[in-house]
Amino acid sequence: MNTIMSNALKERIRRKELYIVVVIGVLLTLFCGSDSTSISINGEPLVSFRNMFMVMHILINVIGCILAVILSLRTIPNEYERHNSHLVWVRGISQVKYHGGLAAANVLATAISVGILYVVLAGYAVVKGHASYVLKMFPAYLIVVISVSMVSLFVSVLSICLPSMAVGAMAVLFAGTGVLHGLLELFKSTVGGVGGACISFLLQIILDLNGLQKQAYNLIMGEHIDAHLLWTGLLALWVISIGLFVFKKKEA
Amino acid sequence: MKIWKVMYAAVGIFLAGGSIATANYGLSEVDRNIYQNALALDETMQELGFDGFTLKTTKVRFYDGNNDYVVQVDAEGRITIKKEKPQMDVFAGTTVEADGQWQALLPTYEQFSSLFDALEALGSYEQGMQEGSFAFSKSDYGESSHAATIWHEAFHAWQSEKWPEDAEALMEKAGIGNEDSREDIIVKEVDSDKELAELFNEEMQLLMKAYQAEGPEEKRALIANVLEIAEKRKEKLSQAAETMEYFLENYEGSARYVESVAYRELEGESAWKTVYLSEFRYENGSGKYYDMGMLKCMLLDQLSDGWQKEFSPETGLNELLSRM
Repeated sequence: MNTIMSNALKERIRRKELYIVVVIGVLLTLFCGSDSTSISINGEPLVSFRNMFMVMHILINVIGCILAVILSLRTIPNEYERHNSHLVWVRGISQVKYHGGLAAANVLATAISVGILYVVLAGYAVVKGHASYVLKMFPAYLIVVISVSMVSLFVSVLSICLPSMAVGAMAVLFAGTGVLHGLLELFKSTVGGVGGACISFLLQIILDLNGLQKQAYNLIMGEHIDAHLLWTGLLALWVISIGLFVFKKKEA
Repeated sequence: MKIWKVMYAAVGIFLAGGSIATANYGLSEVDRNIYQNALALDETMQELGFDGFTLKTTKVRFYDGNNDYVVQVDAEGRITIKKEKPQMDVFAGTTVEADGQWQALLPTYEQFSSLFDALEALGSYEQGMQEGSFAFSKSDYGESSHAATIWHEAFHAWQSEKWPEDAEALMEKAGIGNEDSREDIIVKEVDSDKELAELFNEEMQLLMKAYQAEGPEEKRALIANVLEIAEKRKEKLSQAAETMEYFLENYEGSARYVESVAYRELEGESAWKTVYLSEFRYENGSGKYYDMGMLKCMLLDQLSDGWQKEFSPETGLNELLSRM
């Protein structure tokens, strides 16, 4: 399983995917942090460091979720298209181990990507004279990893049994609902009726990914953390991972 | 392989246990405190003089997004909380008729916090741009504001109990159906008319001046001007707009007044002035009538004892002011 995982990761490095993430990270920093007027609404700068840091933190979670989809969507289908799977089957490796290794590689690649963005964020904090935040950013990073891993694992599991187009659409719905959970909750409460019931259903089955991000931010800022959301996040990861046992490829 | 599966299952059970153990059940401590703080003002609010107005006999429903938590004071004076299916599965501060009585309904404080989180993350930047900070934050709507909102909605419940069907009759008389939104009527028929908007602005400035004036004679002179402008405005309004204005100013304005009294008690004079007496700025929609009605109630407080006893849907705030 480790070999499968490391091969999948090496391929990503060969395909320079991680370099692209570094470029995104640097652009994000230049965009947000170079000086106080670099990000603005109608020409006016967004003010305090705390506000800027919060915006960047939300952005990292959103970008992390998008990267999770991009990095995870084609990994398993590509393996089957290139018939790499046959090389694995002849060695008597089970589908669960094979898919598990590839999904773990997806999660790891996503976590590394978010890690790079988090390093950029830490650099921004240090430059702005808030070096004390850096230590707290380690556990906070692990919380954000729960959020993006969920998207990565969800996409990986679905890509075993569904065509990429369908997985992509479901991934957008999953990640979109997750990062806009608070807003949708509010929207649901104002619309009511059938529309409200549909949104309510989505909100019940999809975890609040922005809420997880908020807990990470709260941890850095020394504010109260909702432990329930963290436990539920880990539980959701576990539940999604069951799909690795349930879904099998027929070609095998 | 078997051991691995057992371990995998054990991890799932452990995580499910953690999730269950850390979940919140029932009405949160924060909302309980908010209710208790509101209830502690009951004597003060009874002294306002609205006949039979008390929180002790009004049930308050806190909607948490899934359920209503119905809070009430029982015959022995104990606070009881009952979980029920939501009366209205929407985010709203309003009144509902349930169990044969009018009850106050409002979202839990946590629901409000989610609202502010959402605004903080997205929509508030425009205002922040103008002021150099975020316009909406939790600090703008604190626990005292929520306690004051309980009083606002409880007052509506009292109005509905005391004057059943009066508001509906008022609307029916003016041909306003349920499908007609109060915001639409005001925006289309009042806000779009520059002259009406200017007159409203003038009336509000005079009201504020009258409230701040020192002697009763000066106040009365300014009130006469206020009523003159109100009459002038009335002539220009359609029947639907006039009725809607009357409703908003009297029903909502008096509820805003009650709410502001509660807030003043909880947060003190300075915070109260900042929130309820800041400089008036004309904005489209119904909100400005809440402030106008509140100011008229405050003026009546300055000039007359016991006006609350005479206040009714037939004897509105302008009528009471004209008797001063």
